[in-house]
This record gives sequence, structure tokens and C-alpha cells, in this order.
Amino acid sequence: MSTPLLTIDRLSKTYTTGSGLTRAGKSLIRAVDDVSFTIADGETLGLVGESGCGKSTLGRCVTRLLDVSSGRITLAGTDITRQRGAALRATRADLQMIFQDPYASLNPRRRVRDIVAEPLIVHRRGNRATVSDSVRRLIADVGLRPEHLDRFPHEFSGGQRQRVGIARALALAPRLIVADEPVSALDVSVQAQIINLLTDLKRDRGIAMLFIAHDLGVVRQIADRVAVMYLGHIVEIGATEQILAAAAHPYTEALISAVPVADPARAKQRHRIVLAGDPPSPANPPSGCPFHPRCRYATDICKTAMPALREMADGRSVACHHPVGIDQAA
Amino acid sequence: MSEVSATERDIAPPAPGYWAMAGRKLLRDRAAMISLAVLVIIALLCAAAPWYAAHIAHTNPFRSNLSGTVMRHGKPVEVLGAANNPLHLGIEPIGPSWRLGPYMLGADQQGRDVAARLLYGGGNSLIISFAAAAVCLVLAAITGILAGFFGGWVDRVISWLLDALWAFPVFLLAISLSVVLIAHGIDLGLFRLDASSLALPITIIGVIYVPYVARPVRGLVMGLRQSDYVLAAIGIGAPAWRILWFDILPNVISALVVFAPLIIALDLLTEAALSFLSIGVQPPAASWGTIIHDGESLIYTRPMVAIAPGLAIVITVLALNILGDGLRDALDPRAKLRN
Repeated sequence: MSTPLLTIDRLSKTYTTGSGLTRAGKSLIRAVDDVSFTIADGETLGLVGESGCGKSTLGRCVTRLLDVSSGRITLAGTDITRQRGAALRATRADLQMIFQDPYASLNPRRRVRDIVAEPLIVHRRGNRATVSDSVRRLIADVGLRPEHLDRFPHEFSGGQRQRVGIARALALAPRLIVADEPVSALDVSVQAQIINLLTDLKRDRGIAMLFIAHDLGVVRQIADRVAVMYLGHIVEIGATEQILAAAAHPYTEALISAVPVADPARAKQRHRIVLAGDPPSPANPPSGCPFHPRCRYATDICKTAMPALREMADGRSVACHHPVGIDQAA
Repeated sequence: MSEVSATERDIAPPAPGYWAMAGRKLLRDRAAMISLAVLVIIALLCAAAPWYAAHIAHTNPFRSNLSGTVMRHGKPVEVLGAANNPLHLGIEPIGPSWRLGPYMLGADQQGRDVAARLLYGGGNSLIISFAAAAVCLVLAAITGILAGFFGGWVDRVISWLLDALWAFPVFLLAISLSVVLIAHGIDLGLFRLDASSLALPITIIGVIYVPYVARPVRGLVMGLRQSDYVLAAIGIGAPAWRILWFDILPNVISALVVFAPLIIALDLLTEAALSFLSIGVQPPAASWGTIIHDGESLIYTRPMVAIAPGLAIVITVLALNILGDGLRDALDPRAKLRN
């Protein structure tokens, strides 16, 4: 395989919280802990996990909206981890973001025309006339009409607003888009439209995507590979069909069993794994494997030793002492 | 490409801009519009002060008139007559005639026309309170935006300065500054303010209220700094000035528009208080506060000298507050939900 477009190498993001003036009063939160993965050109990696597992933090670190605590981010061979100023601004043209809440991510005071033109103006892509043409084309590409250009965000439905957000992300023809739960704020009927739009766009333009979601059903439709995150760690990563067909990590197994099945006959015979308890606080993570208090396969070793992410015989990687359905000898 | 179904909102014409919407809402607010009209009328009357003095009152409201007479009911009457007590001790200024003409509201102790002074004084009071509010809002916007947007040491230094200013009770600070500065004015090389100039009370009153506006502005900007659309602008690579101009400033300005009438009203009251204590507008110039001071010694015999400027202050402050409420309702998008 050639060099990947994006390489994340042992990335961590920690926060200190608490109000004490002294170090003793503060606690350290590991929102993202020692995460590594790659995304190839034109590939879509789905990143799933429950709320608070650090997936959005990871997305914002990748787009450099947050500074990382340690580790390295390499985009197309360039280390962008500590870029600043003009270099960082140039990088941002290749690295765009789609936000979760289409109500909050568009400035309510600006018209759609200005919102979509902003990236082109900032990066001096063309003059007034060509910017105007590009904006018209972008708006058409995301399925909106020219008469929408002079509207304000509040005049649109959630799905239409998300289309505006997508048009803005596409304006600079980026190589990688980080989509942070782009459909979880939308109605189910609209979700499919937006997923289809994103699928078409990435296929037509060859844009790579880090697609963050908390729902494997959504990821199944768009992602080539899936990474499952739990409490700041990636616990399983591999090809989408492979993981959805048979999860190796107990947490992934539980996630897959939670995806609704449309066929009532099949829905009846499947068994759902209901996880006990809440995810632990990242400020006070469990010892050993972070998943062990909720894991039905947990043994003594899980309470003491943190399992490393190991590549299995079938190509996926799993961080578990007792991967489900996989021969330990492999 | 997926389709977007045509709905009624697609056919509707584009909505007007934010300010046009707010303007329409304000125009429908009857109390606010009446208050605005009252303020405009007061301002126009005050602007007409020289014309009133020359053509209706026929006096110079800045010169004492100790021995003059004026026609009342066809008879000449002394402007400063003998007091109406058994011994005829002391003097008593002429009372109000209640009709347009000389001494409509009577005379003060120096025989000056109170009505004419009321209009001149109102001009000064309004100029000082509007200008001080402008000084306050501009300084508060700059400090609040810088502190809230850049954070870090910029925020720490600015917040420390604002807290230092805030630590003083408003009137204690205003009175101390005025007492110290009224004698000599301010002389900082390039920046000079003469003791008799209106700029001195404008600067003092403008500065003392800065923390009261800068604090909320800082909080607002800190909140906006974390909003998704500012993050989106950063993600695009927009330089700080573009984010400040397009994403931060419009929100700050609508907050300042709501603050403006309230700060003007506060400034008007502060100016009146300082002038009443003789450390605001300096004689022979007048303001509503100095006229109340002039009327203090006449309060039992000629109460109108103090009541007229007092009423003027009450009406103006009330109108400013009602207008402020109307502006808040018109500019606050959540106001719609509250109804």
C-alpha cells in the first residue's frame, strides 16, 4: 500500500479539570488515549462509539481545532501536529469539517451565499465573479437551488442546513473531510438523503473521510473501514463487512446487536446484548482493560493488564485478551 | 444527487436581514415608539434653546438680572422682589407665569429665566450623557472583545484593570475623580482636557461604567468563541479579523444597542448628581443637575426651579428605559418564545 493520506500516530488528548490552585485539586481526563490509525486517499473510515468516548475530540484534534497533547498527525506526508500561522491555514484547505449540529454551525446573521463563499474568499480562490459561480455550483451539487442563496440559515430545515454545511466543506476541494456525526441531529428520513449525498460526493470527488457516528447502521452505509472507540481507546478496527459480520471485540459485539433489524422474522431470533451500567468516567478509568467492568467475557487478566491493539489473522486489529470467535493461536 | 422536495418555504421570498427584522419589530412596539418620540421632542426643544431665549424669553439666561422688571398682568414687576414675609426680609425671585414669554417658569436667585436655562441645561445634560455612553460602549466593546476573544494573558490584564475599576463604588469614584480633576483638567501631553470643558465630565462618567458593560461583552464573546460557527470559521482558515468582523461583532453590537439607552439613562443621572454637587458642569454653563442645585435654596418659596429639571430628568430616564426594553425585545431572538 502506498503512503496513506492521513496517519494518526499514538495521538493523545488530555484535559485537566478541577478548580484547585495546586496540582492536587486537579484531575487528568484522557479524552483520547494513545490512538493510531491511517486513512488512505479516497477512503472512508467510520469512527463509532458511545457519547463521551472521545470520538468528537479525536475529530477536532485531526482538524486541528484542538491542540493535541501528544502524538503525531501526518497529512499527505506533512507533519501538521504543531503547524501554526500561514502553514496551518494552507493545511486547512485540504482538511475540512462537517459539524454535528447544523443549527449551531452556521452563523445566523449571514446569508447562505456568504457562508459558502467564505472559504473561497479566505483562501483567495478567484475573483468576485468566479466565487459567485463556484458558490452556485456548490449549492447545486448539494441539492439546493439558486433561490436558496439569499436565505438565512433559520429559513431552512435541518437537512437543508446540513447541505449548506456540506457545501461549505466542499468549497475548497479538500482531500479529507472530518464529518462529526453529520446526521445524528436529523430526522431518520433526512438522514438517508444526507448519507446518500455524502456517498455520491466522496465517490465523484475522491475525497477521503473520517465519518464519526454513534450508530453502526449509519456507518455501514458509507464507511470502507470501521474503528470502534471506547473510553478514548480504539478497541477494534477493520473492514466494515468483516466487523459487521462478526465482531471480535465484546464491545463491538454489543454495538452490533443494538442495530435495529428491519426484518421482523430475523429480529425475533437474534439475541440482543444489553450492556450493564454506564460507561466509566474518563477521569477515573478502570484498571486493565477499560471495558472489563461491563464485559461478559472478562477474566482476571482483564482487570490488571491493558490489552494492546493486535492485528489478527484476518487483517483486523483488536484490543482484547479474549477476542470473540477468534482462535487465540492465530 | 438527491432531491429536495418543494415546500411552501421554498416559494416564500427571502427573509429580510437581521436589522431590518429588528426594526420592524421595534416599529410595532407602541411604548418604545412613544418613548422615542418623547426623546426626540426633548432633544429638539433643547436644541432650540438659543432661539427660545432670544425670541420668547427675551433674556440672556447666563447673565444675572438683579434689578430688572418684567410686565405681569399689565403691571411692571421686579424680577427679584422683596420676600413675601411679615418683615419683608430677603428677596424672592418672580414666580412662573405659566404662559409662553419671559419667565414662564419664573426666575432663579440671580434673576435668570429658569425655562431658558432648563433648555440650555438639558442640551448639556443630553450631550454629556450621550457622549459618555458612546465613550463607555466603545471602550467596553474593545476591552470586552479583546479579553473574550484572545483570552490568556490579554484577558487576565484586562480583567484585572476592569476589576480594579469595579472595586470602587461608582459615585465615590466619580466624585473623587471630579474633585481632583475639576481644578486643573487633565493634561497628558497630547491628551488635554480643560477644566471647564464638557469633555471632562464626559470622560469621567464614560469611564466609570465601562466594567459594567465590558464584563457581559467579555462573557458573550467567550461563549461565541466556543460556538460551532466560530469553530467552523477557524476550520476554514479564516483570519482572526474576519471572525471578529463577521461572527463576533454583529452579536456584540446588538448587545450594545440594548445596553445603550440604559447606559445613557445612568449617565444622565450621574451627571445630574455630579452637577448638583458642583463638580460636574461648571457655571455659568448649566445642566439639569446645576439647576436643581440652584433651586435647592428656593425649594420652599419657588419650588418650580428644582422641580422642572427634576421632572425633565425623570421623563427622559423613563423614556430611555422603556426604549431599552423595546430594543431588547426587538433584538433578542428568544424574546419571540417568551410571548
